[in-house]
Amino acid sequence: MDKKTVLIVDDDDMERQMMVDILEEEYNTIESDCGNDAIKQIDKMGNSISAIVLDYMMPDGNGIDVLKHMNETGDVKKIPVLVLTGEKQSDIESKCLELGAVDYMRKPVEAVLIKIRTHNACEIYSYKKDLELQVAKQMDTLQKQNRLLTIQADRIKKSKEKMGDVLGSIVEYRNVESGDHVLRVKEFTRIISRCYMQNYTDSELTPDRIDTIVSASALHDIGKISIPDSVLLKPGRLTEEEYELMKSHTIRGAEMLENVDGVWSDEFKRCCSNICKYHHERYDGSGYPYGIEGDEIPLEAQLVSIVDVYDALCSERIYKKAYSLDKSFHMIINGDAGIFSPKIQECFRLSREKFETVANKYSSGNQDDTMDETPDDEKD
Amino acid sequence: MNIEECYEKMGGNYADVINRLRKETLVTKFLVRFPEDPSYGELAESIDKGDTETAFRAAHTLKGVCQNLGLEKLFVSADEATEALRGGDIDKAKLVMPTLSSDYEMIVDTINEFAEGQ
Repeated sequence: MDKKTVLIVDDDDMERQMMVDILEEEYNTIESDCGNDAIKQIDKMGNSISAIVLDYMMPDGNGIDVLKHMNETGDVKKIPVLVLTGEKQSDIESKCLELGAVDYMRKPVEAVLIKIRTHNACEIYSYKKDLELQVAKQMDTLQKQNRLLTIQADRIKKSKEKMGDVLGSIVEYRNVESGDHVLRVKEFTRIISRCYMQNYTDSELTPDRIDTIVSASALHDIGKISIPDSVLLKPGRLTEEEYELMKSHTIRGAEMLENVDGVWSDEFKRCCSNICKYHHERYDGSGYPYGIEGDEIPLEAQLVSIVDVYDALCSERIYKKAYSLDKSFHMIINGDAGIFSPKIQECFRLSREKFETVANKYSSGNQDDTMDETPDDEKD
Repeated sequence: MNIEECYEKMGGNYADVINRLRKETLVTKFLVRFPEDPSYGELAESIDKGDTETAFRAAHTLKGVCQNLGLEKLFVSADEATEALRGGDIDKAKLVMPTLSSDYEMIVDTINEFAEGQ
């Protein structure tokens, strides 16, 4: 094994040489005749020095100066410093030890003790260095694993989100006319939820919660899978019986999701279920299926509900043509398309521009400004 | 003159120094180099110049060397000079100097005599 290197710092040639003679059997020795030169050598050689035997009293930088410098560079934690001095003042000893010297030896020199103490200091520091290296390696491995886990978690999240979108768009395929309804509903939901979070800071909304609501909004109409084509795709007015069946898509959707196990988190399922069940409830109690009112309707359902109505208004449906964005906006603001909470209505008003940007992005040019009839809200 | 006789003549403690340094060759090697050590010269010169700080450091080094080589007689006067100079009392140090110098010269003479016989 290669010999370790010890730096011997003493201004007196003879004293320094004596230390070299004592230590050179076991170590490579390098020398320095003052504090300032020692500092230069330590900075240059760094960790290749295994220990430093340091005199205290020297011209051009004393032992304390060297220790102070090593504290600044952090080397004092990496290289053991053994102070060797004829100084008998005890405050020097405590000062050196406080500054991180590992040992303090008084002259006269005792060859055996110097050897043992230097050896011990080297051992402890090399053990410490090994441990630190191992910890650093393990930290590195952990960080790599953590990065991998984060990537995987992100993939799982995305694939679940995609699954929600796919399920949501199954309804679209049956409702041939609704096009990008699911994607638009998600974007509108994000816009209005963010606006709500910013304006009502005491609400339950957080960026994470909004992500959940947005993902869940894709499934708001999943219950329509259970509605027969004859009702779902009927262009004319529904009979009372058919309308009751149509309304059941809310409860049926929630039931379907509740039966899905092990895919979504409880939070996501609860959020989804609330959106399915309550997105046709209205703030004044005039909605369905339960006719609940006010803030009995969960916030996530209230948010998706106004968005769903807006999208239905400005899109073409089997039973109606599309209204202009301007008309759709005013119908909601004027209460012609159902009653929403004042807070939600305000957020909708504030988000008008953003909503219209999204609507135009997906626009297929099927809006009809001439259509002024009251919408057939009984349909959807 | 062998090394033990040399130590006896210098007022040194050979038993102590061999116990600490373990090897006679090591003791001899450094003992014969003692006359080359500059700390005595620096001490005498800086006391003449009135440079207390340099004098203190030189006395301190000389004391350390004496301690390491077991030169007890010179160690005592070097220690006295060191403590005087630590307190900035150069006049007190000057009072020590005649004894210190004669001790030093006697030691250097003895070492040279010993070295010649090697």
